[in-house]
Amino acid sequence: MDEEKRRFNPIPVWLAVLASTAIQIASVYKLRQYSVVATDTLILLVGAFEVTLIGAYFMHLKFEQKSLLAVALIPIFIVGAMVFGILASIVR
Amino acid sequence: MFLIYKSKMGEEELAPVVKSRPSSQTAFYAILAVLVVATAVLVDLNYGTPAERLVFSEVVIIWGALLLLYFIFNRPFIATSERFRKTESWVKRWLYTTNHKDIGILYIVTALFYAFVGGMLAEFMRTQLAVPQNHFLNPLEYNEAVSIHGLVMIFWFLSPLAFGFANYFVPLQIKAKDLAFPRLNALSYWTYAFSGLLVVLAFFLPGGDINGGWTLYSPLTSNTFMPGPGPTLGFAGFTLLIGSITISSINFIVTLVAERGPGVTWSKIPMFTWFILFTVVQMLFAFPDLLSGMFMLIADRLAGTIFFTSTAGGALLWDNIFWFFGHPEVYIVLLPAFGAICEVLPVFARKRLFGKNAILVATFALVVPFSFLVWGHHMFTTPIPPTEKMAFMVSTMGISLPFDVIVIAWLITITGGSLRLKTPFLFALASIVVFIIGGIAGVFLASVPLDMLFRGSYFVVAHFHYVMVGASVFGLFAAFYYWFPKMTGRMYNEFLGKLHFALSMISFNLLYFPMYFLMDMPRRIVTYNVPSWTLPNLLATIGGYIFGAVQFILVANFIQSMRNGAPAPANPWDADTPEWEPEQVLEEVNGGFTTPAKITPSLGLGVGNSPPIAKAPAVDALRSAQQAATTTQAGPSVVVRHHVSTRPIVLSGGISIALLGLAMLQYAYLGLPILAIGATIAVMSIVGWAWDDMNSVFRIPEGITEKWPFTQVSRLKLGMWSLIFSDVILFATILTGDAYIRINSPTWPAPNTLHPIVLGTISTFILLSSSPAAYMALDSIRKGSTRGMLSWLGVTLALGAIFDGFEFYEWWQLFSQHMYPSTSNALTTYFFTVGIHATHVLIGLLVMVYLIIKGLRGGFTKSNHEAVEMFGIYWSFVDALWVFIFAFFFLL
Amino acid sequence: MSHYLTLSAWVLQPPTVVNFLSEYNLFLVLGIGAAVLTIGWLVYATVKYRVKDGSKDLEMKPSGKNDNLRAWLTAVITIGILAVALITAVQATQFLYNAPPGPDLVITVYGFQWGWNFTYPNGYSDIGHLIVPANTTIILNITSKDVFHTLGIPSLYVKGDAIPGQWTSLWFKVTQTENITDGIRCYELCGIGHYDMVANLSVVPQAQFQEWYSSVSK
Repeated sequence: MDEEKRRFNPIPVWLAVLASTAIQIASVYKLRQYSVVATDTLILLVGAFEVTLIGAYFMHLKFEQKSLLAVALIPIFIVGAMVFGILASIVR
Repeated sequence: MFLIYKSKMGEEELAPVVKSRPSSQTAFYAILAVLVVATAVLVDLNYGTPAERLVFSEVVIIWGALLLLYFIFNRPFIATSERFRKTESWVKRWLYTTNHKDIGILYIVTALFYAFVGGMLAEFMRTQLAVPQNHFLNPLEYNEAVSIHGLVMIFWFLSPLAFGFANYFVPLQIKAKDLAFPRLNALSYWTYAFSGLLVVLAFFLPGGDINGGWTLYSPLTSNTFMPGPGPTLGFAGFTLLIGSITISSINFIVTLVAERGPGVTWSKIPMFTWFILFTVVQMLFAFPDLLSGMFMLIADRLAGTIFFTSTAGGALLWDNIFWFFGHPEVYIVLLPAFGAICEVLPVFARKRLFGKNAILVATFALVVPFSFLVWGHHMFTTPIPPTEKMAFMVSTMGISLPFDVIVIAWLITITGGSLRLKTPFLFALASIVVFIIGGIAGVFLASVPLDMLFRGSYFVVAHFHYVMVGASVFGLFAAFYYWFPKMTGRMYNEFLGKLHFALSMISFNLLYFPMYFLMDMPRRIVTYNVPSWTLPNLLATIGGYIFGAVQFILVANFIQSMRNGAPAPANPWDADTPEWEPEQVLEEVNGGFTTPAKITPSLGLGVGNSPPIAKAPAVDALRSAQQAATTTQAGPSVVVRHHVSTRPIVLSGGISIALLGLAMLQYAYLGLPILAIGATIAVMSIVGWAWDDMNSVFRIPEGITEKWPFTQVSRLKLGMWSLIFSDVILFATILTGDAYIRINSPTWPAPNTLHPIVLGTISTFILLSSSPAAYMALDSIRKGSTRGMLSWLGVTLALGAIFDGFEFYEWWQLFSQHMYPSTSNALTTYFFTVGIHATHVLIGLLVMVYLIIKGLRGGFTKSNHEAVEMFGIYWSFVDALWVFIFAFFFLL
Repeated sequence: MSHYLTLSAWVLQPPTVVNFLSEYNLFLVLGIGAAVLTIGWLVYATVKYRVKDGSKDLEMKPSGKNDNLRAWLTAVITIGILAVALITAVQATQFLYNAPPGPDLVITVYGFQWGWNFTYPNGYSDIGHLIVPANTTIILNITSKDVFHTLGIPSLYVKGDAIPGQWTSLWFKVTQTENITDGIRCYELCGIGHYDMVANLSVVPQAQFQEWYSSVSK
């Protein structure tokens, strides 16, 4: 593939990742006293966003073939099954 | 290949027996002497101990197998002429080979060795159970035998035997030159071989071998109930094997995608290769789960964590982790045999496979994903919610549907054909019959109410031996007979083959069918005193003796046929799959050699048809493939060269020694030196491996091949992504386990109480900043600036090192407050998870050191910097993992 | 097993036994039927279509596209069999997890290396002998003091895991008085005493049980 098309400016991505982390930390100090569930959900969602950013840019997934992305769905499916199945076995 | 050899064969047979004793033979006698001394020491040490009989019998097993190996591998240097060894000795060939055929043969022979080990243990158990109130084995010996029999048969015999065939025939079937990463393939083999030796060696250590069953149910596996370095070594060996399997899966996936020969599109891939693909996909995702379970178990035993000893995680967490791996494993051992059956049936029925696409779709769209959704049926008597049990019951019964499709397709295939009842075909039919019986029993076990009787009983034993021994092993026997002419150039003895089939089938059913009637007899009991259990047990023992004995017909047949069998025609079965086509004269024409001395002939078992290689000229490593081809094509004498490397065997040997030391750490005066020696060897060979790479000693050029769906993804990148996929499962298991423990724990520290957020934030910012730095390094070298790349790599290295420093600082802080992994559930999960992550960071740092040294030597250019890109992907992945770990321990 | 064919024998059986056997017999009929059909097909085809050794020049025939009908037929039959099996299995499972209302006795069971401790509501505990009244719903709450055990009573077709830190419940109701030596066994490998981890089961008439129970009350 054309090397030029694979280039991007890392600074905005970097800042976005750092800002997301800052939001997570701020939510622990400011939001957690009102609702633990909301805070935890927010932290996980923001974390997922961060990981998406890192995957898309720093792991170059955005610039790869879509087929690689499609194959990445297999481990995600398996992880989903594992998390759901194992944690469901606690519920009594 | 052997088309060309055939003309030579007569000459080779007449070649004079070696007169002077070759160095390899001297080495053999030296090893023999060492073994005599070692055996004497072992016998002396164990004489009079409770486990003495088991220990002695294991000595006998090892000796028997060594002799067997000697007689099999001994052949080439007796049968071939002096010329053969002018360039390379027999020992070096087998130890340093990275050729897929050689490694395939090594896998097959080693798997047979472990079958012998596991089979002897099985015969001990059957002897013990033959009559009530027997005292042949004591309970501990019996428990060790039952555990190691299961582990060895599944992990060191069944799968490796299948992968021996896969190594040999998958590259041939897809017209690839070799596997994508030949040295990693050799590494897989040697770690596999050594890891099994570690498990067998554990018999001789204090504490004995693993004695908690192959399912390793905790907390029986903890230090409290199974103390000593013996079990620890067993677990360490098992963990090493998982590493080997992971490498192997990545290798096969990349090979199948990126190494197919010209014209081999997906639709032209033969069935065996398809099933190997399905198998490795399952292996890639199933084994990392078990790997993290084993890491937790070993940490429990050595580092004092309390994953499986506390009641928050404990037995039910192990059950979940183990069976999440354990059920796909059932299909991992089954699918290669199915692939072999799909090859054998049409060839001998002279009728094309019915519903090829239906079989493929049923397997890939249903069996592979569903195998990860049925693990709960092993837990029907645990207190998991009834709704979940019913969901697992539905999915388990559902997974029998694709197998129904496959069996029906096979039956329709043979209906209306012209069946030639040769041994491979008979074994394929036997496999189907036995699979039907075992599979239907499996549907019984899928039902929750029926498990109220069957769980933990001999009905289960009968079921899984029908599907594993029957379906898998018989299917692989079919493959063995089917491909024997290809591998050796000789025909096997048809009468002995049919005799082996008939006796196997009869004794197999005599052995396992009575067990279906032992519905109320618990598994793994050393003895019993119930009248109704006596007859089935006696019948099973008789069947077991016969079944064990008749397997030697196979060995005898093969050894005899290798020597004296009729020369095989090129395509003895009139098959039309690519592996039977005459091979290219030059198997591997690439620059993968250091010096001419490393040139080695590469062939199957090499008996009687070794090509003369005296005419092999020196080949410069830098010469192009074409040049090499023209210089070596001197007349009909074929020079088949292959890349050799000493690194794989030395590296796996080093790791094995280190693990031995690790298991014996409680004896500091003994454990530490062994650990140090092993680690030194391992580190030196890793450095040597890196040195080889830096100097392009061992390089395989990437050919222009079919690569859909990854036409623009290089071989290395595909390998890296496969590794990341398996690592995702590893961390998902760890974090799910952490979450499980957290939910089950009565208390859990609130954020900022145990781990200061400030410290975590600083280290998070540092690590997240290193990803852009790694990208800048790649960006610089893309523009051609080595200096820019080196500076940015330096920045990344510094940030990563600071991050690890912060982690260790926090550890030190906790230790100084007397907070250890054993203190609480929260600390157990923290130390373990962060420890595994910090190790990932450390590996990244070492890779960076390699990259910087290579960069300083001018190893990267504007067009050649793949390693930097791979590193960036890996490093960012480690960062992404930290996001979740940070959230879990510091924020939630 | 012929006496199970008479209805009165079924009525006398404990409910867990009836639940198991009705399910098991259904599976057995379906399973043996499927096995006989498929293996019979395979043997028939092998015998009918075999050719002599040494037959030469056998062309590969096409895969038999006209066999699609047979393939679909078998697939539909299999799905039907599985559906029947599944529906009954779900019903039988629900039965297992819903103890019948009425008089019951809750007994706590501790598994340990290597034996069973049965603790009654009045605090009396016995190692190695479970005494229960007839015609009463018995609920066992099972846990373990050390490693993973599995309590199984094969004659009543009930089984439950004894896991440290976890509680497994099961119920049964026995209709006839009986004494079964080693009627309770451990079904999960739990160390060197696994084979000997047995307990006796005694079912006594309710009156006799009450007499015994009050005599051991503290």
